[in-house]
Amino acid sequence: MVKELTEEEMREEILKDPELRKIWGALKDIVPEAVVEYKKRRAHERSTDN
Amino acid sequence: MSVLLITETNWLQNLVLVQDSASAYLMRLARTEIIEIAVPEYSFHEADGSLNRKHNKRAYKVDEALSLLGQISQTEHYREMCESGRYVLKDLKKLMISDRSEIKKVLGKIESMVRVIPYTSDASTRAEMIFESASPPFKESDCRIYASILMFAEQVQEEL
Repeated sequence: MVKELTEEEMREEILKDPELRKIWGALKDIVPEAVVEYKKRRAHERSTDN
Repeated sequence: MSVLLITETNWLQNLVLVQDSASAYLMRLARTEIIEIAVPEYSFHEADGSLNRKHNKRAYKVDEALSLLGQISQTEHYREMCESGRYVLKDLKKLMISDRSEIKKVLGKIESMVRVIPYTSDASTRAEMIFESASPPFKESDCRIYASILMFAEQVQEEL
């Protein structure tokens, strides 16, 4: 049985990779309104899927 | 390689905008060669287009503000203050241009780290047929992504 990683464990793994650190969340401050719009759209899609 | 994961635009946006751990962790697994990730070329264009639209809206508003200050500065006693404002806004515009390059750079970097599913003319024709049919997906861009994934999956299956 494969152990499911916690959020924290996943973050630790991600931070081990310097190249990945450069792209992870890299554009969230550049276009913050895109983050808001994307989150709203995903929430809407999830509610219509259920 | 035992697992091939096909992702699309939402995964890209999760990765660069939302700092979603699961999306980034999948990329980590791909980087350590546990899985392989393939992303449709069209998804990169879609993500770039959507981020740019937001960015352009901002740039357009800065242009409008520059033009407004130009008009107001025609009143002599406002001129000095308007010129200072225009100076700051011009600097802001320069920064925004470099942010535009950052969007391209980040998406380009991801493109170099995954397997890219090409958007071919055959995929385009297939996408048109899916779009004209009465079955999902109903959005034109989704049809393009879906068609290129279908063709890629068929090709991968043939290779096995």
